[in-house]
Amino acid sequence: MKIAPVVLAGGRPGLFEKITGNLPKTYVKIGGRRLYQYAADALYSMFGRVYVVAPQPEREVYTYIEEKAVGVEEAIATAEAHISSETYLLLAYGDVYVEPAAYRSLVEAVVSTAVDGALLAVPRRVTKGYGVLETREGGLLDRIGGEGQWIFGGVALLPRDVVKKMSNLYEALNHFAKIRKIAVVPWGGVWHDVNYPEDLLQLLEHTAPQSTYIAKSAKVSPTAVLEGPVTVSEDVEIDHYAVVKGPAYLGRGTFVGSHTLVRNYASIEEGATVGSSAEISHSLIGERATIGRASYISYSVVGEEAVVEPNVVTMSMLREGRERLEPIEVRGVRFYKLGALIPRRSRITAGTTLQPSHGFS
Amino acid sequence: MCGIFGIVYSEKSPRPLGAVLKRALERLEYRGYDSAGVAVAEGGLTVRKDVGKVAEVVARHGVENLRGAVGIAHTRWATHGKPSQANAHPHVDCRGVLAVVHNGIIENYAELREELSKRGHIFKSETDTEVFAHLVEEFKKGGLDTFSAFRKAVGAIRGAYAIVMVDAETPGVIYFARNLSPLIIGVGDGFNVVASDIPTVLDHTKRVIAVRDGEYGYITWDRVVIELDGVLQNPLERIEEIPWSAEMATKGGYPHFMLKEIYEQPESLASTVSGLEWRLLEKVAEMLLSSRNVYVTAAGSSYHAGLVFTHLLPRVKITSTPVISSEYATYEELFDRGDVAVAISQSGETIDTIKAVRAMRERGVKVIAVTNVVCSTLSRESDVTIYTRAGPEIGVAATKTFTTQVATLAAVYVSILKTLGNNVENYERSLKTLPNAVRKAIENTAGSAKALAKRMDRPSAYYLGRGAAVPVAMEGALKLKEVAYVHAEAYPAGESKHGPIALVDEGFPTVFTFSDPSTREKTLNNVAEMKARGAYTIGVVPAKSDIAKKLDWAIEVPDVDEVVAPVVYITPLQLLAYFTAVERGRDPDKPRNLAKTVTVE
Repeated sequence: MKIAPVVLAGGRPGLFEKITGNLPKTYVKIGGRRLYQYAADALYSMFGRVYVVAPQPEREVYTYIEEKAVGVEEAIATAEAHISSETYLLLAYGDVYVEPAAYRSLVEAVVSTAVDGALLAVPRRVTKGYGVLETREGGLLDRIGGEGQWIFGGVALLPRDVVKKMSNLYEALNHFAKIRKIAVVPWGGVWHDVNYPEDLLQLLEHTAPQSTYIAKSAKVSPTAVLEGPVTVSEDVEIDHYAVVKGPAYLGRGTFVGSHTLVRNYASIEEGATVGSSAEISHSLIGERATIGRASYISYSVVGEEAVVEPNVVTMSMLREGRERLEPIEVRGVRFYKLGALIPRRSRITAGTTLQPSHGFS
Repeated sequence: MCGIFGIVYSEKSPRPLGAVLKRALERLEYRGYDSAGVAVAEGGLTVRKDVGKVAEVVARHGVENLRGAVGIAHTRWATHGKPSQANAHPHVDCRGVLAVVHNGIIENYAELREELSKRGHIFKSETDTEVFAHLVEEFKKGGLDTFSAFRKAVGAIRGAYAIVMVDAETPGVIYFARNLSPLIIGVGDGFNVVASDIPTVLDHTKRVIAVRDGEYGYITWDRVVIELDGVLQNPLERIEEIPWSAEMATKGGYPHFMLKEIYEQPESLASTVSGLEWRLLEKVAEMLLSSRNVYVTAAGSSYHAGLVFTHLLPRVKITSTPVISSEYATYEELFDRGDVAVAISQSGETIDTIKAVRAMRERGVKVIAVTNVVCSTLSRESDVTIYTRAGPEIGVAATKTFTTQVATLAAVYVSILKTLGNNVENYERSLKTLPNAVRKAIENTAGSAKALAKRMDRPSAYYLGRGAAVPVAMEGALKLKEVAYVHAEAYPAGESKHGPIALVDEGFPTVFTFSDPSTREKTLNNVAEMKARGAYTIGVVPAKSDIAKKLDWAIEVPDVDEVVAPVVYITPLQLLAYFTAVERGRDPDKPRNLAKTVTVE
């Protein structure tokens, strides 16, 4: 068994067009890295190499394989044709964020039980349209389908000959479950898939820094207050009386104006500017975006190079639930938080109040 | 489950071989800890083995001082034969040149043993494993070389096994075979290893080969030979590099042992059910039916399993008294000849339960032990022992050991019904299909349990049920307390309005269990009561019933026979406790202040 780790980072942007333009959703930048890089980096540090199927190569250590056509099966076939002597493929969906131990658990399950392959299974209550994994004796895959609550977690370790002639992933797995042994490996730890733009808000909680790093070249004013864990990258400037309450991420060259409050689970990507007296809470501010003075951005996603003019307020309290959001409870009242999705390169006029869930479809 | 290990160096090991074997024993101790042993093939065969923890055996027999280039090691979890020095592995043949370690079960060992005895082989242990050593010896006597004899012996045995063998007459070779039990080869530089799990191999090398079912072969310091049905395999193309360390390795592919053990329950229950000795159960049934008083004594989760049993006994007109082990003194004056006690302890070493049993036996009470550990103190001090066959449990919170206890006691109940002349076919079928029902329950509730865990953000919770569902509620509450550190209190649902309901306010989580069909209607009244006070009502309910609609959050499990229902209904509550612990950043495998087995008063 020689393993080729492959991250499937392609696909159409779909609902993420507002954020990533023509690029797949896995290209959204969060915490200084593209979404697919979380999987790619974990696999690279484990195996010393990783293949990334993507529409566009970037300056990274990974081996990029150009995506020829859209679709999981196409991407897998492309990867299979590209790799050399490896006999197994460790496939990881680029839009799934999972702890690195999950990748290890698949390899160890295959090695220690000598089965032919393994799928990561995650508990999920909502199962409509997902790959429900049904098991038979010994925790082996029986079939995909049914009404169970362990679903395919987007990570699979499969022999090369299985993926070679695959026209449909689930059909192929159903076929191979009958003639080969595929282990279903339950995963109880962190797992988060990004299907909708609002999934990015929860992802902020996983990608947030866990320790504090302040780059030498960062300029932090003596009256600014930093409460860890925070990442303050190179050439960041934090002006007088600004408060950064961790966990928060400030990308390279970002600017935080005076008297501004950056609250927990804020991720401000490279080159973004936050004017003075603004407040950013639990939001993703895209690269080179501008947040005008005295704006309030909460539970929102701001696309790259978007301009939010001064005094823009995002309302974020939703009484009515959304299936994908975690409810919050304060003094016995349950509600949901969702602010605005502000598309890349758009402009929000000064003084606008954006209603909750504005821009999220 | 046992742990096995073998290593062969080119000449001298860089570290003393004894130290290498000791390290392997320590790594594998979780797979079995009642006895341990090693064998070194260096100018003849040296075997050191004994009962006890690895550290004790190593110290007692000076394992660390062993020198040589080839050694095997074994940690044992007794299945055939009690833990004793004779039964500890490695096992040797009559001449003392072959040493065998084994994990699993040789199903046809009895017939093989009989045949070999006829041919003059002398057996020193009660194990199934020893048969293999003599079998190879026998084939060697017939003129075969060691590997051919080994191959032939593997062909003669049936069952689940991982076997490793050394022969002092062919030093420098370790023979192995695998069927269903794990076995991994590690390919080193100047040595090769074989072991039951990945971390043990990773101590030596990162290059591993998974041995597949039905394969056998041998390793020397520079070669790996694997065959399948006489056909040579190419192991080199199967080498996989595992680039992480033993410390980073997961627990056999799981994030925590607790999840592993919850997930393994169908397999554990299958082994419980298939291992039931009905003749023994009939004897137990007769003891219970003819007794004056019946006591059921245990502690912790075992006590809850006992309570499930005491809820069944009135149906066969047996009055029983549940006795928390440490509280036995309250009932001491009652204990008398003609009484029977059922004592339940996973480890068989729980000091409170053993003390209760001693006090009972002193006054002439006959004791039936229900335990998972062969020849534990409890089974030695009882009149009859029923084994639950759950295999070793590593997570501190009891999961598979609890459900196998309940299944075992359900079988006792079925056996009582049978003795009374009832038709029990239905019940026997329920027991047989129980593993599948539990698999379905785990599959169909994990997502709900995980999602619900996010909402278990209050400092406390109630677990309520009626009738036979009360012990299920108690066990569910105990799990939440143990691993998630959430205060959880179980009550009979009807009793909850006599006081506890005062605590209920807006959003207070209240978990109802509906495992007892005769009390479902009444339990629903309690749901309404709790709901009226703003409680967040959660329920483990039978699938395809309309109970789900009356709750804020329903977890549906397969509807099964009431006798085995507690086993099915507890699984989502185990998962709930597990996910709540993970959600809160606790390590469910090592809850604070708790030990797996409480051996102090």
